[in-house]
Amino acid sequence: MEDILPTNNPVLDYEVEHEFPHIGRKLMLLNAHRVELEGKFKDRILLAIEDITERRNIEQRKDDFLSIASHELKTPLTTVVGYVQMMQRLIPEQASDKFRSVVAKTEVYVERLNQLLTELLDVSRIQSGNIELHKELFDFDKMITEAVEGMQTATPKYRIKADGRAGVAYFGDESHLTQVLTNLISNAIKYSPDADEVEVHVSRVSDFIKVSVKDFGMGIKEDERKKIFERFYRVGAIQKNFPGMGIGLYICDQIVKNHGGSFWVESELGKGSVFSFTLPINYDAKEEGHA
Amino acid sequence: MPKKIMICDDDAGILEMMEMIIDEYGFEVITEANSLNVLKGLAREKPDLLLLDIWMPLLSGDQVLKSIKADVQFSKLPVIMYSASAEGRSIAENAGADDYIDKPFDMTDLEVKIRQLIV
Repeated sequence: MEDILPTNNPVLDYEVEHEFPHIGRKLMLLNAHRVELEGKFKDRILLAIEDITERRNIEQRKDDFLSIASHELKTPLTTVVGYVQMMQRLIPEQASDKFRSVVAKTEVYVERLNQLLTELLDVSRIQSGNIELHKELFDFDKMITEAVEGMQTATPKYRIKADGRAGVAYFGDESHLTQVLTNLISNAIKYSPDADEVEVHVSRVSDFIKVSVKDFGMGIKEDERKKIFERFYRVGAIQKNFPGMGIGLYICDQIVKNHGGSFWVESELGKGSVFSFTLPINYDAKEEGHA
Repeated sequence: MPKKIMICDDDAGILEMMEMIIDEYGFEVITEANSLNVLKGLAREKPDLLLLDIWMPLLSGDQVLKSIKADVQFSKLPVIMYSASAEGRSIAENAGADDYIDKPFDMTDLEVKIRQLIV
């Protein structure tokens, strides 16, 4: 019995594909647990097999739709972006400040729309396993400093304190990791409207680089802490006051995972949250098929 | 004589907008909405540079570029490819494009890229 299914090692959500005589190819989810309760079922195996063929097809169609829709929307947006830039260039000398400000604001919101579409495209790419990582050796501490400085310039009201260092050249996708850090800092600011400080801490822990972003904001309830990493999930209480699509953390989590790292949050309601991720320094991309 | 730039894109809105922008840079512009006609257009108009969309029906941008590279008349023609997809850059690199730009374009970036290749 111990050889077939050790007590401490259940089979969880194992995918099996099989061609059946009459019903064709089916994708199934297999779960198996050893019954440990004292009684007549003790030491039997509880086996659950679920047919997820249809569910997987629906998910696939939804992902295709997401990908096509966001891609199609980019085309007219490109045209609008072009014309807005043209307007900036053609503004007459004597144009009023009001007119200039209208053009400038249009540009800002068109850019915001572009950003949202890019994120949607990111999600659909991650879903189809196409997140493309361009890994190179880069100076990790410099990346952190630049991202922090960029965010500091964009949000002068907050003080972004950075300390610690990794002290190594890291082999990874610099622009995606910058995206992770930028996203964490901007979340930290967004969800701490009454605070004025965010802390970024970098350290080297044996063969890992660890990065933490700490805010002094509203914090996250315990039952929400896992869910916030799911795509399109948004914490119920904040939906109205804080616009967003619920994909930033999902993308961050996927990027960190694609580097072989882990990503988690610690939080206290009303006091703030700390989002941390670790990256193994000698991670071989091939181990995970370089997704 | 201003340098001549040909743009190939299946979307009429993009073509019209780009025509205006490239004209603003001071170049002569020719547009082509049907990717099957690019080679004919190159022979007729003899442009100095081609701006080529990647995702097009009939013949995709990388297929168009393949036929251009295979023709001795045009194999040296500078080509800048563009697309809105993240795979665009590697498709352009593999196809042998001289440069690549993401949609939506930054007007200044596009102008810099063009001038690096033909002025």
